[in-house]
Amino acid sequence: MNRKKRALVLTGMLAAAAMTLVGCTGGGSSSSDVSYWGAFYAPTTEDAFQEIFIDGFNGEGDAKVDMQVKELTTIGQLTDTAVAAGQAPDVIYSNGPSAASDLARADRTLSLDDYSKKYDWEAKLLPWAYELSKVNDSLMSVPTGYGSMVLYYNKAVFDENGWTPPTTLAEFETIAADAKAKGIVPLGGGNSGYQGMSEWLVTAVLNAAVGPDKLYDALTGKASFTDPEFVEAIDLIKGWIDDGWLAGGAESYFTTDDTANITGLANGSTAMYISGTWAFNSLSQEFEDPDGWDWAPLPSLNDSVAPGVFPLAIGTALSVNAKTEHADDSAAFIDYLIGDVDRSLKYTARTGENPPPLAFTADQFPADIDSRTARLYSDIPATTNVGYATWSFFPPKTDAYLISEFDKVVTGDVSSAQYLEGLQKSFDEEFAAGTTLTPFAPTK
Amino acid sequence: MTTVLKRPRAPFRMSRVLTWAILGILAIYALAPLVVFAFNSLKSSREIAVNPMGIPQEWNWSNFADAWSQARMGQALLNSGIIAIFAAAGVALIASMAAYAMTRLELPGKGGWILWLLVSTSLPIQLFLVPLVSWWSFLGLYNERIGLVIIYWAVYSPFATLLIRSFLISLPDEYLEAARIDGAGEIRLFFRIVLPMVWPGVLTAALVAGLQAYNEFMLAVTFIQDRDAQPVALSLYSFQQGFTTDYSMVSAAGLIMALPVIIVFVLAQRKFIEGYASGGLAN
Amino acid sequence: MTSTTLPARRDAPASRPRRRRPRTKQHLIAWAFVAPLLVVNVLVITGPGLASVYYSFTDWNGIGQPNFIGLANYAEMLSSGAVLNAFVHNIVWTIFFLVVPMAMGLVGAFLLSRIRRGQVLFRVLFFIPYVLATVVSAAIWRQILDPRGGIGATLADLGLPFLTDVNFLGNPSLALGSVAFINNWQWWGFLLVIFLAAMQSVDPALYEAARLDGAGPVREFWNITLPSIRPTFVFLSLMTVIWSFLVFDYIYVLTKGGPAGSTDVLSTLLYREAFENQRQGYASAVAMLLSVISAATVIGYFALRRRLKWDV
Repeated sequence: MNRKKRALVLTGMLAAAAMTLVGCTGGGSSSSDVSYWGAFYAPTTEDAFQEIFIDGFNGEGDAKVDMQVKELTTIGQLTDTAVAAGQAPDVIYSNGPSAASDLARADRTLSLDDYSKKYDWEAKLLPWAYELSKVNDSLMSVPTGYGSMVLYYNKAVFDENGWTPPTTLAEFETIAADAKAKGIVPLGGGNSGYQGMSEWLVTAVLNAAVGPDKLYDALTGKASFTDPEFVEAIDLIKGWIDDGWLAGGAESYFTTDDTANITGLANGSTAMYISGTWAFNSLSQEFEDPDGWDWAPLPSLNDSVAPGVFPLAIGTALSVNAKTEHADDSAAFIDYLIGDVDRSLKYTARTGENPPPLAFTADQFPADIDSRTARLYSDIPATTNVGYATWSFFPPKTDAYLISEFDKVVTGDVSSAQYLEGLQKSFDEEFAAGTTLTPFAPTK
Repeated sequence: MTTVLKRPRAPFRMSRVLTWAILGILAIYALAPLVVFAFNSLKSSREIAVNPMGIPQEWNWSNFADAWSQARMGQALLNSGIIAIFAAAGVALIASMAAYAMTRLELPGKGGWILWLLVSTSLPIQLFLVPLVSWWSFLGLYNERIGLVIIYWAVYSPFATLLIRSFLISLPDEYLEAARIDGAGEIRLFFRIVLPMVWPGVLTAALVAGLQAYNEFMLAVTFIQDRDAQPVALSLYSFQQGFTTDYSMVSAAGLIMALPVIIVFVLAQRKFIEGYASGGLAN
Repeated sequence: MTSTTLPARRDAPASRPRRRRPRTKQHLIAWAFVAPLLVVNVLVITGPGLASVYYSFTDWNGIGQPNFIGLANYAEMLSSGAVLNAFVHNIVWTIFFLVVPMAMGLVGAFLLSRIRRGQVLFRVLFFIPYVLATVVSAAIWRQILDPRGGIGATLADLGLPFLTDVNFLGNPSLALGSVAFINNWQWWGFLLVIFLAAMQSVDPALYEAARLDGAGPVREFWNITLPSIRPTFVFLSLMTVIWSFLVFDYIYVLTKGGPAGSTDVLSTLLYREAFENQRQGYASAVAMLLSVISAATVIGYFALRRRLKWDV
């Protein structure tokens, strides 16, 4: 009786241990395929990526890629956890070179210099993007999508009110005041759902009000974020909030999300919205008439800055897991994503997604590409007035500070000067530690 | 309420009216948001933006089919069902055994056990993801449903143990002693006498654990990478339009996801009241 | 407190007769019964928890090599305004959850236990919110509290404009209360079901006796129901305190600690430090603070128990 009883207890005890043995297939990286986790803006984007890049790559050679789809909002943290635990996929997704550089500095990803030579990436990629992807002079990630910040507007609403896209601060303020008087929210904005939306606004205003030259100086340690130009720029945003121009005021800033801004634009309750070029897709979806919206380059927000600045941004960067057993195949897959302009533009034409930072000319655009996309990617290479997106060019902790502390500027808990003081302090630490990225020098 | 106190004899009707009034108010509080929920599951996301609370202008029944296919909810519901059932059963067993040992067996250091359990519930599991993922892949449990279930056992059993313990503690000792004197072994005693007597507690603990496992997101997204093995809670997070959530899809999927649980609760809830009687203590 | 009204307990441990089995064997059986709990807990929680103790003394960023930095994380934490701010919000949250959902759950369960017809319907209804995933109930309430078309606008349409333009989640002084209110909607039904289950185990003879003495429902509640379910009540209060310091889901989904930190609590702060600022070491120190708080709560409860001579 006693023995039987103890045996029973033991069985219960060991249930957990026994079940351990049930499945022993192990992690995802042990198979012979190259593993990759992707995240997409919409299901249709995912389908296009699968068809053009995954199926295309798998159909061409012996190497195969196995893609698992994650959500844009969770893939960053998921990847960090998996990398730290040694379970990351072979090709690692980061939301920009800054995040990729963290992995590189922890020796979690491979140097891609040899593959760069093999596939001639240095010649294919735009120089600024190539430089930005280096850590300690070695290529550590490959950018697969680049875009910028622009000003979106509803064509019908602008026509009705006799507005034209503003190019200067004065023009911007005239439209904003007129819109406000007519009960329209002058400028969309907010950070509900995704706190990082705050840095879209800050990026646009810093580039358009402080200008790329001064930003470059600050990013290379030759100027300070506490300089009056920066304080003035943040004060400008604060003024828009206090006037109820931005998102309709401080309180609704915290409860307005990206979609609300885009629907506001579509139904005419919002006059303008400054956002990234990744929004092309959603705009066409939310507008009853997909051609009802258009974009304009950012207006100049200070006399010292030329109108039409394009802050450059890299939204996706891929690296190769240091633990991979398929380094060659992984690099081959990355090259399949960026190595062929026609293939990349085909994907862009179909999905509205940002193309990789490759050197291409207007005649390479496929016939079915949206004219607004074609215009964007013809205009950017044609101008020297380009700037710096905070999430691509600011070091990680400074960027995190910029986002989380901006709330207090909105509520008025801290002044612009105090906010920038903290920003500079965080930047100083990272600059001293040598973890900042190399920004391109502005072209005169 | 105080008026009732002053006249303790008369107020039978009064207290009845009050009872129903309070229950009615609580019911409205619970129900009204659910109506908004049901409405939203039938609106388009565009309509939710302009009409967040009202009756749908257009009844988009297709939302349910869209949510179902877009998030592959069929397979996901099945996965979740399996995960939740195993989590609930495991937690109930682990916790009631432990609670029994803590209250009725000679386990040394009783206060210490409670302290340990409560402190371990207070540790934020988010911080352990990295060591757990490496440990779990070493054991071959990473990317396996059973691996996730074992984590749920660990995470949800401290509360369940203490809950069942709070039920066990108010049980009179005589019944157990009588059974022991009859020569019943501890295992038989546990399954035949103890479990039936605290059945409402065990069932509640199992229900809570199963529900938490069913709705849990962070551990599931971290430990299950294969899409075909992913539970339904992850579907809710797949209705993103870039940086924002598609609330009409979330509502439709949320409704689909809640229905099986509500049905289970309706079917099982009779058991919650039977416990006392079936424990042999009614008379 | 109410302990004087407690019916005489029949199970005082001291009076427990010695069993027939030898002591070592008794111990062995007891250990066997807790073994499964012990194994999974050590594997998943206590083990990694001890690892966090180590990380709390390092500058670990989550992916690189940790460097030992002594007590620097603790020094920073204890002098941090953000930690204090979050801690205060946890205290407010604790008080709210000790009062509002507890009262609603207790009263609701007591009233339900006294009715026959409709009990099932009410119980199911009250429990449904608890069934919903956090994202879903957050989505519902986000629509209800929408400043443009939500409850304020709806009431205004009905001629009650007192909530017009109130931005529940966007106003820093309302946000914490709003999130707590939303969490309560989902939470109190859970307490009700547990209280109800506990009330089912109360000996009906006690009520009969009270009724013969002419007790009304309020006296029945104070003199019989509450003392009889005291173990459950005390336990849930204890859990409420501990959970209130761990609260994460609703705040994260609805406000992420904003606007401007007005809903920040220790666990959202910890999450932000660990995953956005990549300071796992510092986050581990905050986790230690959480453990210390809950350990202090439990020890405080033990002391109270000894003073009041509860056997719970």
